[in-house]
Amino acid sequence: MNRYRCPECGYLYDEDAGDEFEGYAPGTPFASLPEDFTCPECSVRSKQDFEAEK
Amino acid sequence: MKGYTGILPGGEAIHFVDRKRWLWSLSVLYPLQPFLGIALHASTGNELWLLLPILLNYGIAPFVDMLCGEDRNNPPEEVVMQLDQDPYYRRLTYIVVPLHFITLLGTASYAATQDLSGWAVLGLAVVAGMTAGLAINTGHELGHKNSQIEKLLAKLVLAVPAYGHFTIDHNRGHHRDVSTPEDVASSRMGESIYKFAAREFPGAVLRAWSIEKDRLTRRSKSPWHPNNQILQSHALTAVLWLGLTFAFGWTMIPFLLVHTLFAWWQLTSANYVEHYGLLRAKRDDGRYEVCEPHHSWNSNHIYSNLALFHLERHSDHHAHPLRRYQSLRHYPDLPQLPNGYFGTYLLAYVPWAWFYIMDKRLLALPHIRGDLDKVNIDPDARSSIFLRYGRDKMEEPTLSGS
Repeated sequence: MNRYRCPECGYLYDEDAGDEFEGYAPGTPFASLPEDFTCPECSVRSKQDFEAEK
Repeated sequence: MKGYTGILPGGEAIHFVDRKRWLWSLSVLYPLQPFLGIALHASTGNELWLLLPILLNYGIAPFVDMLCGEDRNNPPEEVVMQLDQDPYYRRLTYIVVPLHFITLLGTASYAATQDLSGWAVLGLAVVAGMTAGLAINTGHELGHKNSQIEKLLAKLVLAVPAYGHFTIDHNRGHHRDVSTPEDVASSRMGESIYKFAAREFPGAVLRAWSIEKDRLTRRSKSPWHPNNQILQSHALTAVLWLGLTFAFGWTMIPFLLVHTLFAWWQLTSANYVEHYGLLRAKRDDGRYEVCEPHHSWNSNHIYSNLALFHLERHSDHHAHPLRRYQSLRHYPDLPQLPNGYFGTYLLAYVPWAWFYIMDKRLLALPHIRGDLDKVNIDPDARSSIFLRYGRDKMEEPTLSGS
């Protein structure tokens, strides 16, 4: 599974963990997050801006 | 005094001492102003003293801002991380939270138990409400942070002004949409503060509810589930209001209504001046460009910044929303407000004066230079603004008096 990071605030979306508070169950792939997804912490970067972690 | 040591890119050590460190206690003491009026009333019997905070905020503060001027100092980038992590600064924001409850309880009990005239009770409610506007400011600083304690304290303090939907609307709605026509909390060129308020009040409630409802739907929960962050804060407001009415009687109904309206009005005033007319460009892919410092009006006036946890360094805040107040930066060539917030609010309350001063400032900004296509314009004012400032009639505006 992959991890994606917000380039502004460092929020990490880990596909293994999902984000329970935001309503993304563990195992939810980043690609299936809503198209209008914005960073849950800073909101100033959107899905397309997130960077895959190596 | 405590300092921070960083290493410059060249390898040289740099030592930074924050000269504003102790001055930030002004932001802590500021919400206690109503007690100053109460103390003077108690010792003289003159009810006018209860209104002293109005004079302090709208009469004195703009002059102090003018006299003390601007502070353009920045902590060096190399020590910002240490400054951000110094727990002293966040503790100040924690201390303010109970003070807001004390101020509400103190003013309410004074209004109800002393032999005051009707107008003095309402005056005290206005003063308490102005203070509760500062509670939204505290909730703003706390609500942007990602620690659980700060998120919780934000919910608590926002119960005082009955604005529990603030964190969600502001963080998830306003910051996403800022300086676009879609944002209910960004004012448009040609839009008076009164017209703006009628769009912003209901708009913020509806946007916050829709964002929170979407989140709860993803979690397969009803929007009325106790996990609703908006309802949690508003539930505490209900407890406060019922408790105060039970303890002090029906006087509390007009007192709390006036208190709450004035608290909201403080936020409306801030929202109105923070992004007036500014517009993020749409990129080729249909998305708006990311929020840059020039998409917010900034003020470096030191006195009101010290009273408001640096809220007026708004440009850096929107570019980097999680940055803590003590680390917010000044940039050159930013949209600059003519005074601190308190003086600027007064200007905003007189729409013709506001348009007269701010429209010229707006069009003179380096990234706009008179190009109305780069301005967020009120659709109702569009034709009159184009008639007045349209390109063919446009003289190159100059940024006078700044």
